[in-house]
Amino acid sequence: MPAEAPTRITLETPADRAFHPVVRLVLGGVADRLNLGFEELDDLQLAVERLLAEAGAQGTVKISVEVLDQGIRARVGPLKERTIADALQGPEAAPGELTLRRILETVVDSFGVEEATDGELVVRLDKAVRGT
Amino acid sequence: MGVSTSTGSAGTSTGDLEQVGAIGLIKAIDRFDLSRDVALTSYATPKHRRRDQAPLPRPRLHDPGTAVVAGALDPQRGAIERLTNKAGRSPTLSDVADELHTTPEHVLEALESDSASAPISLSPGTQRDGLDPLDTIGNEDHGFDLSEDRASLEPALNRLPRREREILRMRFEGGLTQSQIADQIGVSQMHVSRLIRKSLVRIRADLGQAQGQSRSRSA
Repeated sequence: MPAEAPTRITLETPADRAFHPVVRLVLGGVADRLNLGFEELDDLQLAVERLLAEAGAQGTVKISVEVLDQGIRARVGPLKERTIADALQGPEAAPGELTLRRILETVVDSFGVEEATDGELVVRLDKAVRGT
Repeated sequence: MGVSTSTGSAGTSTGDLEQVGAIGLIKAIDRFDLSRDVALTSYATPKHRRRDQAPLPRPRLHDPGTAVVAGALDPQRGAIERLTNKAGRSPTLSDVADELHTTPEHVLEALESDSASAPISLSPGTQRDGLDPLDTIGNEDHGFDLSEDRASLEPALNRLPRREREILRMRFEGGLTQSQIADQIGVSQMHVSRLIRKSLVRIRADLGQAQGQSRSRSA
């Protein structure tokens, strides 16, 4: 990917689940250009979908997909409730507990909660490209 | 497995059909009454057909172009499995496209049409009749609690078929990849992917419904 090429795609979509396939297609298109494995792409799509589900069914949600040197970074927001941010930043899930945090820990390499310039909370997801 | 093959439809792999068909056939044999003067084939075939037909995923196809894409899904599944076994890692969209002499966009569209179809549950019934294909794993049914709101999430999780819960445990507690789970339970990685996605959506929907009811009661 040339340095001068655009490295970020930003998408604002209705939060309704009917539009999730559009988001998956965008993620897939970017992932293919990074040689992200099929299963890794599926993991990233799952992570984004879970966050979209937390964003609720009304209003809009923004997704940005950024090409990194060794992977892909997605940001999803705004989060509907601060409790979700607290849950993501809280203690690790105990063994045998299925939380949003545990799901994200499993399917992406790292994640974090960030405050956007407009003060809204977004979740950052990083997925590395493994050696080919 | 002639009956299963003859009832095949677009978007359903032969492996999926055979899996469901085999369960139906075993159930038919189990219930067959030898004292009746009826051939097993006469008895089993209608049941076998019903079992095949009821849970088949139906692609939501809206135009002939999409139908062509969905029709390409079976070779795509095969290509993914082949490439995974060959390279020892998950293939990229381009790998799959090269294998099938098509474009990554075409592969992506086919995957999307596939994700719109409902996966066949691995635990078709609620009875613990020993016919579940995952029973061969030999693991105990570990509890898997959701901690964010235990009171309302536990029922949602418990409403999942037992083996879907087991798959969630293998993925999110055991840390197994989809391919590893697929190997253990004898289905495709794509099927595992769809089951995980559908289970999580179902849990989330059940939770939303429970929270709505709770709000109604307190209002």
